[in-house]
Amino acid sequence: MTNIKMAKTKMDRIYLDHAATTPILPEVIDKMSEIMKNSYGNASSLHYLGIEAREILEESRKKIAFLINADPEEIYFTSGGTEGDNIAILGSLPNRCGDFALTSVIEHEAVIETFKHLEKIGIMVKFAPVNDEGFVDLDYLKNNLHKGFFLVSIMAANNEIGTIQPIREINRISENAGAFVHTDAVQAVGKIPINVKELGVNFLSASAHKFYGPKGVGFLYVKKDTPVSSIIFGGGHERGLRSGTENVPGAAGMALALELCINSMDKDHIKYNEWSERIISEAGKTEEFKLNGSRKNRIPGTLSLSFKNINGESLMQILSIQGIAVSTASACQSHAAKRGYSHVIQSLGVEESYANGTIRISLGKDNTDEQIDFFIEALKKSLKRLREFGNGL
Amino acid sequence: MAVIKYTDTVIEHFKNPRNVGEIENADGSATVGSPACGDQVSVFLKIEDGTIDDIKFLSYGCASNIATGSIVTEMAKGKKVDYAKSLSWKDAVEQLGGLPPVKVHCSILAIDGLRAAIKDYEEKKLGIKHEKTIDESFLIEELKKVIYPKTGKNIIEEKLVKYLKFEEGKVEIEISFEETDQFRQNVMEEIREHLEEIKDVKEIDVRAVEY
Repeated sequence: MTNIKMAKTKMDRIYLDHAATTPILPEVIDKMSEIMKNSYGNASSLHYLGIEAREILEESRKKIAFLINADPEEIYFTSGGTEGDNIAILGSLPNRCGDFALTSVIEHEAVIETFKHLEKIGIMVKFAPVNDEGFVDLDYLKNNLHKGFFLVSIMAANNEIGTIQPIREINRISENAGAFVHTDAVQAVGKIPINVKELGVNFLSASAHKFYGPKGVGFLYVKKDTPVSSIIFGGGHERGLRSGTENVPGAAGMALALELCINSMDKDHIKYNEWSERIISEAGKTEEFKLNGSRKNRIPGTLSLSFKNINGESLMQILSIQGIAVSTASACQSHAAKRGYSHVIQSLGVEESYANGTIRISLGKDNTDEQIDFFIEALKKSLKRLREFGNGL
Repeated sequence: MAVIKYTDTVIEHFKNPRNVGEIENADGSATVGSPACGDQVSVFLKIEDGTIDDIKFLSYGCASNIATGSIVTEMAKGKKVDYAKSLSWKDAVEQLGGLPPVKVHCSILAIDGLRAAIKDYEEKKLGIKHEKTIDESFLIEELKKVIYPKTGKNIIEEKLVKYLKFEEGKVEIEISFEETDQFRQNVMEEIREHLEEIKDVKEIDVRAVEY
């Protein structure tokens, strides 16, 4: 039988799940530690420690604004992507110009579930379909948007398959219909260049832990003059939009992480693209699989692969015991779970015999050539092993 | 989201499953589950003088599916057929040191596979006919194979079945579910799937009701 070697030490860890979260960069940890040790004041306090904290917070805001071509007063700190999405969507409700809203079928749960909530409170909600590469159907948008749509929310890049949406185009179509536009850019910020002035959207949400910053902090960009109401009430922090004591070390860590990601972006892309090609071509020598999403317009390093007649959850587990962390879009929870695989893979129309065998590999800064070689070998062995167990009968 | 954390025993059986493979000219064999759902188990038996001399399995399933196949075949190997018939999925779960609630259904599939292979042996080699009268108590036994993934208990034990009627080939079932229950659709599909396999069932009406 094919021999599977179990990982024993931390040295054996190969992390290929950067779309789930990323390890914090050492520089970011240092910066945050220093702030936590020395600048522990409440940014709303009026004494010298408060002023010091406030200065750090505002510097961070300026830096983030500069990095995405926004104005500092357009940046609001949040607790992360989910909160940013919720503020943009629910915060648009009180000022709405109609009772219609649109999103896509492949959004993250933070958007899908919020839209389902809109439906429950009487908003007419439309879910735009996608094609087999995961691109939102622009004709559907053109044909369905009309006066009365107060919000269109389409993600900048998909978390499972990495497809990058034409947000500029989507914004133009939606704007023509009189709708405000939100984009969940959690999988895009720090990974591809983002210029909010070029995109033209009203709202853009991001999360620090997806780009080597800390968990529990993110930001929401709100274009100047876009009406938005608070959904969290309290001390009136963040100009009344998001009450709650400011997470100063988090904001500073996020700003530095974003800066570092953008500085090394080109170099990282070259590495990720080369590794992706290597994984695809090596696996292609022995395996039957499909690459989900767009081949061209994708987040570099995010690969969704569907192996024929393989159980994706088993593949994820067998890689995991070898120290390799990937994620699966097909966790079976009951044996009649015909929807055992994710809503994204389903929306692409992937055949069942492939869809059940879907894993997502997402590469990152901490990966090395040796790790990718090791992974490719482990992948081949693991697939062979699963077939010995009976996968692919 | 359901957290899936396996015991060391499950991981060990997943990594080194016992009795993997096929038996040529098996005295009894069966395949249960379906690959469309991402789960399928085949069981093969070699039987001598009422004793299971050899048993093998193949699995197209998740880690716990493979581990339960491994443990169930271990538990049955070298044992009398009658003893193997008495094994329950609870025994299998216990031997594995527990399974996450959302994975308990895998142990049922493995036990089902074993029982179906024994049945096949009895029909083929011993000429025993397995014809049961289909009535409500039989259907309740079948419904005990459907697990509520949130708790890992079956839907009868969970008292989710509020109404059951069987008349002229038509089954009517009412299941108590909250509208927001994430497993509602899964459980209803699974009920339908189990009942569809019963020969005398021609029509199935499963309704979710809020009680």
